[in-house]
Amino acid sequence: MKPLQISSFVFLLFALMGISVCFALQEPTLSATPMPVVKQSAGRNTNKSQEETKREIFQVNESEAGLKHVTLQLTWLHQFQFAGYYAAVEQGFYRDAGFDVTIIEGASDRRPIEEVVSGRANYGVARSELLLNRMHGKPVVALAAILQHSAIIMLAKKESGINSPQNMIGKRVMLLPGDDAAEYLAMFKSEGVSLDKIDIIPTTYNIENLIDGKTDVFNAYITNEPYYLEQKGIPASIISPITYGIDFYGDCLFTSDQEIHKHPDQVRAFRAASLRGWEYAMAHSEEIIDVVVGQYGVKKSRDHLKFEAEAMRKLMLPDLVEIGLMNPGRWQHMADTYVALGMADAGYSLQGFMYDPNPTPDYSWVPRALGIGIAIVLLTSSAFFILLRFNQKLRLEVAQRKQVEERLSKARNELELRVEERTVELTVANEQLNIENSERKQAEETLRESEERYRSLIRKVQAAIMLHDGQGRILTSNPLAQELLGLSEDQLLGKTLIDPEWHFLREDGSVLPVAEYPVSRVLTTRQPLRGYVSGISRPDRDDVAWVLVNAEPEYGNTGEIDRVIVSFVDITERKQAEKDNAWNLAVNQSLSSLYIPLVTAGTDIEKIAAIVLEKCRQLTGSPHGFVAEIDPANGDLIAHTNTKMLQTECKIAEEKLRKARFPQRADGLYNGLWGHALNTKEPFYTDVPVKHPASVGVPEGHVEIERFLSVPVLLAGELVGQIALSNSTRAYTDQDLDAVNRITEFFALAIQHKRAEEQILKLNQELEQRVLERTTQLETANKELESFAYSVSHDLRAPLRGIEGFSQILLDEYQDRMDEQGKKYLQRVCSAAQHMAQLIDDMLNLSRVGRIDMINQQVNLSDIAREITVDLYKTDPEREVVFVIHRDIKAQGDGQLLRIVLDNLIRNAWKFTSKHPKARIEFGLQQEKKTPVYFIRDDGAGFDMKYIDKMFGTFQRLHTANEFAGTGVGLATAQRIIHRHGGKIWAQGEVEKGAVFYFTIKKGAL
Amino acid sequence: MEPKTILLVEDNLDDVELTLLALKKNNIKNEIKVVNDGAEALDFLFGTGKYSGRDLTILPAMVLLDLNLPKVGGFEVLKQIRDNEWTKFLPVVILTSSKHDQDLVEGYSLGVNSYVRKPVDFTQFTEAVRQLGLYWLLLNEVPPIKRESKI
Repeated sequence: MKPLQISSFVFLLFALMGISVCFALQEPTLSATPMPVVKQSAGRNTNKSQEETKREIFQVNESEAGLKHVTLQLTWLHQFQFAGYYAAVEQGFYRDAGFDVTIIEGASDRRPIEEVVSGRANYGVARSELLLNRMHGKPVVALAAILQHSAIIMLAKKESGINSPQNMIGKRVMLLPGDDAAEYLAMFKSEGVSLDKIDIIPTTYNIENLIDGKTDVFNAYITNEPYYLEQKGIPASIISPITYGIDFYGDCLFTSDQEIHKHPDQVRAFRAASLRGWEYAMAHSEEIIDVVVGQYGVKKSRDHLKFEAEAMRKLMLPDLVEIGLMNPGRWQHMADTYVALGMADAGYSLQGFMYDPNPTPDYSWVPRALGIGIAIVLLTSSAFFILLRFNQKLRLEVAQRKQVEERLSKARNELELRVEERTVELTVANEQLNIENSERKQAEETLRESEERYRSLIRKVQAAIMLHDGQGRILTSNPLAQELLGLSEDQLLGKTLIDPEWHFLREDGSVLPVAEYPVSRVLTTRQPLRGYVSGISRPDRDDVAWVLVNAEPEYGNTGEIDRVIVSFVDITERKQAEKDNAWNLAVNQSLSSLYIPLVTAGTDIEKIAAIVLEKCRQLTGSPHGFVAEIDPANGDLIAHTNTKMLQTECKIAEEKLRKARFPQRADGLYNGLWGHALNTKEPFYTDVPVKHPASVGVPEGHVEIERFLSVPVLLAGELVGQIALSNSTRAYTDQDLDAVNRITEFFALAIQHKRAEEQILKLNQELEQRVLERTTQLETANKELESFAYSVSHDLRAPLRGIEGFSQILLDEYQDRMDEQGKKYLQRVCSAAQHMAQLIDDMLNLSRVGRIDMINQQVNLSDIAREITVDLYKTDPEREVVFVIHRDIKAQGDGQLLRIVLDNLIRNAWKFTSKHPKARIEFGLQQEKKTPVYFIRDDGAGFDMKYIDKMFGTFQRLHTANEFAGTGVGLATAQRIIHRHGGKIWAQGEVEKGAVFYFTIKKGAL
Repeated sequence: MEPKTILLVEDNLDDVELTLLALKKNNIKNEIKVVNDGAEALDFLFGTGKYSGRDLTILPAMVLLDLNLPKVGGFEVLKQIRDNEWTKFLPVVILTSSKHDQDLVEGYSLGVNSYVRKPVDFTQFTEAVRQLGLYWLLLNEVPPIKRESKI
């Protein structure tokens, strides 16, 4: 009874749904009122042309002809951004779906979400704020995401340097109002930029405001505004939220819950037609541009629209993504972002937000429908029983059909099973065949390989083989063995001990006793002997052949050794290579041990010579030798080092050996055997020195020379030294000569190094000498100058005093005997003499400031300036001069000299303002790029900047003596002092507008 | 009491003349003994050479000493004055053209009483001489010198 009840209940629900749907379907027909929409659009776009109005009327008329009238609210003015919808209109996709669509432009007071929610529009275009609105409870439903990525960006002028959210701190940023700014806000949040640090201003939607500087950052669409800026040639920075991880959907088509519930089929059809429109638009963008321009009166240029289309394509990705696709995960992520931003509450639900064009039964509406249903059921209770009966009949039919289906299914399954079995049989047979085939192939392959290997082995065997019997007698030998031993088969046959002149050698070169011969050892130990290395020394050859020996016993039936098989491989070459390697290693080690002392500064030549000799002796096994250098001054050979063999054997005293000098002969050659290599510049060795033509014997007490090797040291062809060795226990070889030669190269470098050092030392000494001489000259010159200054001071003043004094006396005592003209002349003599006295004094001061020792101290320039001004006031109390002296201006330098600078500059200012009734003189400090700049400013006579070059020259004046008195030395003196302080002094002025003198003092210049 | 002598050691005759004029202008009535080089100054002070036999007990009231002098320089003269018991307290004023720092240091090291640089301006020069006379001849007191002191 229970199952039946449940199934009845479910059926009831389905039935009710059907009714409810029918009920809903009827509603639009009843309430379809297209007229107000047209009124709205006409009313808001007051500038619409008559043609447009006509079109709308025409559309209204058409709608009367049986099409459903719906409105689509755009976010903004007509542009390519909405191409898909225009395409759907133009291509008749909407008409085919039964719609008459009015597309209404957006405006700041006509936002799509409000329009759709209020029911004034059926559909709208909105960006991701759609989701936020849903989260805030607005009943909006996303139908399709047209732009997979948001077109929202921010624009700033490149010159502003703004290229990230961080840069926007303290800047004016235009933002969309309210929730529309979500992506921007998310970007700021994600970048940690606090909104109160940004000067947010409501957007004007006018890009001109960015251009004319009313804002620093402008909210924009990547599809639109960048083009304007590009056209105007304004470089711009694009700041895109995507870069900062805020990747939201762009434009979406949406509608309301209400619309979906009222007209589910219409919604599905409208969505499908719109997406068809979009596909068409993206495939035929040129054509749609024509439409946008022609039909919608868009004022943008075709180029601009093309730019828009291309930008759109990048955001839509129509070739990769099905147009309209929405990913629940992405909406979810966006919702989470809003929550993280605090723009929405965490307890949201996205249930019902994403429109599903192919819905599975959704029971969420059941309770609501149930409510409506129950009301209907109560009204039409009889219908219930009709339905119940209908249901039972249907169930019966279903059960019958199921039975038929089951039978059919069983038959089909059996057939499939048989086919499968057969297939398996065939597969197994096939596989077996394959396996057999491959096995046969492999066997053939193995056989061929093995034969090949044998043949190759036989070819490769290069061993000499000898067969011995149990007593060690040779039974047989192969040709290789005979060749190696240098004996014929007959000579070998039956022998146990071989010819006494012929023997085996150990690795160290000593003779191997017969008892240790490989055969003997195998017979004794009854064990095989493998990898034994031995030398073969034959009477008919000088060199030794080296062999690797294997000896294997073969046992007879009694367990006794029947035979011994001995095989040899010639390894002479390998042995030689090993020996060469060891030798090269030793030579290289010797060279590298020389390297460090050679490159270490300060290692003297004797030390290097000692190492060179040591290494050469080790390598060549020589007990005796010397390493010498040629004195470039006289050609003498100086032995930096010498060795004495066994101390006692050589009777020459140790100290005589060290640093011994061997002079060059008058003919430029060197004596004896040691001189031979020097004379020929060729290395050589001899094992019979006494027979050598150059030999002249040895001095008394000198050890006898038994063997001798000598290498000249050459540097760029020039003979600079020698390495000589003697009395090796073995014969010298070419290899020895080569090794010593290589070491010689190093020694040549050491000599070069030493000579360079000596050269530098010599040059340095010369330089020092020259510096000393020059210093003395300068000191003399300085003294002369001082004595000149002294005599100027003393001697020139005396006659001046005479001229001035006697003129004065004439003026005083003899005035009654002179006419006025005569007195005037005398006065001019006086003042000329006084001026000259002043010149002399100033000049002496100038030379003094260049010479005196400066004392580094902290100087309070403000105090000094004040003292100077007090003095100046006293000289002329009548003058109206305002001194402005900034407080506590300090400097590091010589107080006495800096006082002269200030004195000169302030006195100058005082002097050059003297012709003005009132004056202002200012002393201050200003900072320029962290450097303190001192200045003295006046509003006096000033000067013409074109004479600035003359300003600081000695005896240079910019004013005549009649205008302003002066010697022209004061500024030169000030400049010299400032230069001595590592500073700079300069001036700016304008005639009759005053002058400013600036100076700096370098820190730590003293 | 007869005003004491002023010894003027000066080789430049113009300067001699000007100094005499300046003294005269200032009504300084002392007898002026002019010598033209250092050697003569020493002879005068110590009664040697052409001044041998002079009554050495009569010391000048002060010595106006130039530095750059023929034969014996001003500093040498000063040194000998100070080295001698008899003359060591004699007021000596260096009256010179030089303003050389070294000269100042040397002068004071050797015990000069005053160092005056001769101004070029005659009026100033006259004023300087007036002040010197006022100070050294009228205001300044010199300790007595023992008669037994050897010269």
